[in-house]
Amino acid sequence: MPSSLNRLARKVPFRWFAGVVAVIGLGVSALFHGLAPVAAAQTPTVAPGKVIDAGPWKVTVVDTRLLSSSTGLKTTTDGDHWFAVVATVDDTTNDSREDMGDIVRLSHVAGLTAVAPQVILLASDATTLGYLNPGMPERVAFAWEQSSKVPLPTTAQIVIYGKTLRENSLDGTTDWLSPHVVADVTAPVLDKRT
Amino acid sequence: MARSNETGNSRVAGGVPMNGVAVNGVAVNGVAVNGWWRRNRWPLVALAPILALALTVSTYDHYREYWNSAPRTPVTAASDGWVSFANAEFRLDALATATKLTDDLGAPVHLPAGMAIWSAKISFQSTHPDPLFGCVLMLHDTAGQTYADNPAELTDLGVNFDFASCGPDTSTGKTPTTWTTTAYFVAPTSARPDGIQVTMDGHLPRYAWLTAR
Amino acid sequence: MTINNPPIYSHRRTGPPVTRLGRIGLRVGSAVLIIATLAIGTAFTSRQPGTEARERPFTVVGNVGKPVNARTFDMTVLSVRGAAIITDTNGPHDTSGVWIIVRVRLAARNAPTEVGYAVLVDAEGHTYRATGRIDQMLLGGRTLEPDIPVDGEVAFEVPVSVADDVSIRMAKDSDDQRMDAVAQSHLPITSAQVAEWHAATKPVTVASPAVSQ
Repeated sequence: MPSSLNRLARKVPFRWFAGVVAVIGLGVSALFHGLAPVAAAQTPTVAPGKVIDAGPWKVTVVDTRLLSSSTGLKTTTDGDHWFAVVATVDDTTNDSREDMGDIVRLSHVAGLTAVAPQVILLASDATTLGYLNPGMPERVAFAWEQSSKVPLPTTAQIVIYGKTLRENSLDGTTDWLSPHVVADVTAPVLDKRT
Repeated sequence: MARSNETGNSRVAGGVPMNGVAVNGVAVNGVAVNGWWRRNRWPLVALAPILALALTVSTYDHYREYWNSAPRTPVTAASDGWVSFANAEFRLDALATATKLTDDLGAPVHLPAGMAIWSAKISFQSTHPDPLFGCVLMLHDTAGQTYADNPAELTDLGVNFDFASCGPDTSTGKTPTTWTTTAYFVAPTSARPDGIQVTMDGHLPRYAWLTAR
Repeated sequence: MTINNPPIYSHRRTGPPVTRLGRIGLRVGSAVLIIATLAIGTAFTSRQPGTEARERPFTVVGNVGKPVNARTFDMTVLSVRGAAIITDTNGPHDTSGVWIIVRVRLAARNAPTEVGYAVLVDAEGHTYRATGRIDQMLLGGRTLEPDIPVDGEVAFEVPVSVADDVSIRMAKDSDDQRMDAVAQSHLPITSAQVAEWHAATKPVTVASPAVSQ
């Protein structure tokens, strides 16, 4: 290095030097929009009947309804009924899945006794859904026990969750993890109790 | 750092002789080739046992967990025929093929070819309030195979039998201090049963070994 | 004893000082060695099999009609049939695909065991679990006894397009087959049979398990 620069370098405190570098860095970042505000991600609102890509599943919400007693489901409290989200769920992975309970949540629906669906029924024979097979979409009803003491809503807001295929940081295996909201659906509530 | 030894030669710390003359007669560029071995002979001798000790210490816990996970150490009967295990004493009174089994309607049961039913009558005594809770009874044969009690095959055949239990019947409200149970097993006709193994989770790897008197 | 060599005070390199070029060369050489070590190390670790490959199950393949050793039990595929509708005490169960009902013989090997895992796997590696829409009495809770073979049927539903090229896989644990044996047999199904089953209107009942006669 030229000896005059050398002498200068020895006189300037390191903190000043670091500060100058930081300001130059911020300036360069600003030139490339690094200081611009980032818009928050918006959850898309989807109409019933549209296919939603929810990670390991493709979900199509059909409607919400109060289930009839023909399903054979018994409530824990007398007088309660079952509030259900009916949807077609398609397992897009290579193996049977049994985590469909993570797909659907309800927002702003009063009188429910749980956050996650308490029962998931297969629409065709009202059996409790165990595994969904790949390539075999099924119409299912996600059901919550709802108190009859609350007025029935006319529409319900359904929140659809999806998962991300990524490496599990604990054991290095690849799995569908990190449930996150992928869509909101507003559907009318049908009373099918009779 | 140079020190003189008795012969007056200068030496580097560590014992390498100077002046190109090695103690054992081999010299290369003034440094003895076998000096390293001499310097390190005791650590080398200790290396094998220390390595063995390190491996043992690091695997001991896992090996002990593995050893304790299955029945390995039998507790056998005293001279009076009673086995003392898990707060109780018990004794195998009889181990034989069961021949007179009937279904719920009282008709004799027809066994599939190749299958035999064995029954083991066991007597217990204990003053402990909750003895042998969660115990598992298994029939052992001479080939080392084990068979579980209350087999589904007997239920399939419609055999009328009571499920065996190690614990006393407390339905009357009083806990008896002596009681018996009969355990049923299915085994191939070729099997030669030689005893009953009684295990309890908290007592592994010890288990009670009952043989017929 | 002739003293020809000068006394050695240290083993550092002696001689004329290294030139500037030499010093730079030394630094570059060190950097190259470090980078080479990192590169070789990364090449090794990146080629190691991942967790899923290391912990994969041991699939044992056997022909229909022959026992396949799955460590704790033997599986023998006896026959296959299919249907469009199966029925049980809860009523009929139809399917968007086709029902495949596999008759198997299971026998524990040395100790009582259960078989919890049963899937069909197609030519592309998709797996289809045994259905939960009816009670599958051979799977899950039924304990098998050594050398007492039990015959029963297991029902699966698969898409029609894959049904003529599937294999059955069975293993002990329903959820975790890592590093355990999995028995596999290819099912002899023709596309004509699949079409016939898919078009059948008569509901079929899945047989309960019974000791092999």
